[in-house]
Amino acid sequence: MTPRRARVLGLVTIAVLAVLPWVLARHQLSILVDLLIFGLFAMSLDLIMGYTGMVSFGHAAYFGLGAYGSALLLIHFQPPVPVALLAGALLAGAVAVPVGWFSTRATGIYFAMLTLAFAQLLYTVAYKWRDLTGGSDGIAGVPKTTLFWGGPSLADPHAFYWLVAACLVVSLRACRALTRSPFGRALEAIRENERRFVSLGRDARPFKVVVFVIAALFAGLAGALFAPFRGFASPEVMFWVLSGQALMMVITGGIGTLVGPVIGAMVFLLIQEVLSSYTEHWMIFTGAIFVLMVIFLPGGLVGTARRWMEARG
Amino acid sequence: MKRREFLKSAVVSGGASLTVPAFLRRAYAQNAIKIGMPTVLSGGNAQYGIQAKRAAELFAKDVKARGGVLGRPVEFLYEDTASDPATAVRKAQKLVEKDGVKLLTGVVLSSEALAISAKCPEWKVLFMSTINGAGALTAKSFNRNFFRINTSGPMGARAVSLYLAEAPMKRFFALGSDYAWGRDSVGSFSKQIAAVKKHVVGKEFPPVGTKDFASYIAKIKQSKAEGCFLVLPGQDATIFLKQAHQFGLTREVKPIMEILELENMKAVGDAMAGTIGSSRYPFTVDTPRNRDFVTRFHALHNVYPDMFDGETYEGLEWLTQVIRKAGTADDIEKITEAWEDSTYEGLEGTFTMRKCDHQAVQPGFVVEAVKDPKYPHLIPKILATYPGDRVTPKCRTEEFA
Repeated sequence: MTPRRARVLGLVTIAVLAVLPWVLARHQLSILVDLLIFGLFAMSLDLIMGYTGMVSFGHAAYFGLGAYGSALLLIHFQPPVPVALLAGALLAGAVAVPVGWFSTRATGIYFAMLTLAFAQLLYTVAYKWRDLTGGSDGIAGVPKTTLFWGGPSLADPHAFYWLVAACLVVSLRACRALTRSPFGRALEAIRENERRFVSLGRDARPFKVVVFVIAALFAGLAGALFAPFRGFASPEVMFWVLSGQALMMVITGGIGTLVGPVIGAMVFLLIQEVLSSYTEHWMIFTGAIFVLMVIFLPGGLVGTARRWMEARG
Repeated sequence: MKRREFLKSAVVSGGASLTVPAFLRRAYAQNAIKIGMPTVLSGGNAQYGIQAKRAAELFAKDVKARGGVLGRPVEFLYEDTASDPATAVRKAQKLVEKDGVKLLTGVVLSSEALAISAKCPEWKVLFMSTINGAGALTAKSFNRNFFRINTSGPMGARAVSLYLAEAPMKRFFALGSDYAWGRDSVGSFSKQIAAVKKHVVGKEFPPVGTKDFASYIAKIKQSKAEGCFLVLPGQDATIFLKQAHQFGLTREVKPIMEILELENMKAVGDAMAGTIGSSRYPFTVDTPRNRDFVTRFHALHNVYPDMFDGETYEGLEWLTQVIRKAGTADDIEKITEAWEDSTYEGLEGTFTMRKCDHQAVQPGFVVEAVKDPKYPHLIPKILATYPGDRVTPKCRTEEFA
């Protein structure tokens, strides 16, 4: 795709996002907010998975940390939502520093296992620390406060949608800029051939730790949006099942495309939404669809679409 | 493109070929009063969702025969929450925003109820609990959109404690599921047992869905307790009782259940005979209204009504009584006002809705699982009945006078 066409497509997307709240019913808007939040979450995983080639099985931990961080802050101090978002993202990023530092000592499957172990550890903390987190009952009644002190309320479904959409668009642009920067090129070099990268005289690990933390920041932001939106945070938001679903979203949408995982998350959740209203056994169908996609669309939705467009010129 | 189409048609035909369960076939009746049930229809707690649904079915039949409520038919919309609070909120939100439901009920786990209840003021809907036990719902986490028809966990623990105060047993172990209901009820039980100068010698909180209770059973044995207070939901209780029987625990330690359910009696069988506990609704209660209800329920479903069959039916009946009084099924504020301080002739006695915390005051029962040749399974025999004012906590607290 030419840069010009990409820009047009981007503008069209923003225009569509701007028009949607006026077209959609209230319930559909709620679903859309859900899709955007999980789109942001899947996109953050793509940073480490697609651009650096590190498969994390514990990404839900940072989503969950963001959710708990913002939920606790909003419940106890009622600051404006953006303050809670910042706090949730920073909490996730802060925890990702030591986890990333340890996990990046290993590569491949060992890296995946370490991230999974750390995530389950954090899940257990959330489950057992009843006084702070409410244990398995979670934290209910997280309020949607205001945009800034004395500012407009975000309880209105439209207002919260704008906030989520803005977060997603800004994050997407920031991540795109990051991947195109020299730092991003270095990440791709690590993905393609880490030994060669090292032999060129650079240490790969600082890059890996930094991108791990950045991915956690964005995952934390998604979680921090989720808590006030759903009014709720529970240990399930840091469970390995969500980490696995994030991997499926990224693969469905297209690894290493940033925008792909956002679309992947939307498709994945929409299929789930539709199927689960027909059958309790919807997981069988999502599983089957996923298998078919991996076999027939190995580049994911966006990867396949790009290749198709390139082939047509 | 062909492949995409193939995928699409595969998904659609796959989904359609599954027989769509009857509860999902929504009759979009014109102008119906819609009651949303974000309940548990899959997994270990599904039996509670089934009870809520059974009660709703009998109720819907009754309403139809009487020509509706305010001349409008009543329609129930079911969603499966799979026992997960986050899913429960999402499904409840769907019922409210998509289906325009103003009344929610049938929520199973207290953790789900706490999450949904907190959202009700924002959604401007009423939430009627007929199953949720956690004391916090009418205390710390109370809001005006929440009404509890059923006996709460602390109320059940209170009835049991009043009974045990007179019993010879002195040492107790408490085993509660690790979530709101289990924690609240064990807390309440411990306080009240201490108040009558008896001892809780140990407490454990297994997670929901525990399949292997061996380590807990060993601890209970070691504690030398004479009775074990159990606050376990559905399948967990059945599994525990079966294992406790296999390990010979029930010969040494008397099981005392916060809720003694038919479902457990059916699943565990005769091994459960002699188990005591509180009951929120024992179908054996001998009142004319209840005898009639049990007959009609059995005629429709071919089973005897369990605890939440009765409580949910009563809740729905009371709700329609209130809707008639308020003259509206849409104005939440008017319904709330009509409900507060109102009374209702329930199956097992008179109910009063306290204005201060929306807890229904009602009689409390202690029952024992006994064999009766007239029935295909054990039945709850009423050992003691306590008046509502003795088993209901002080307003907006989990404390008793």
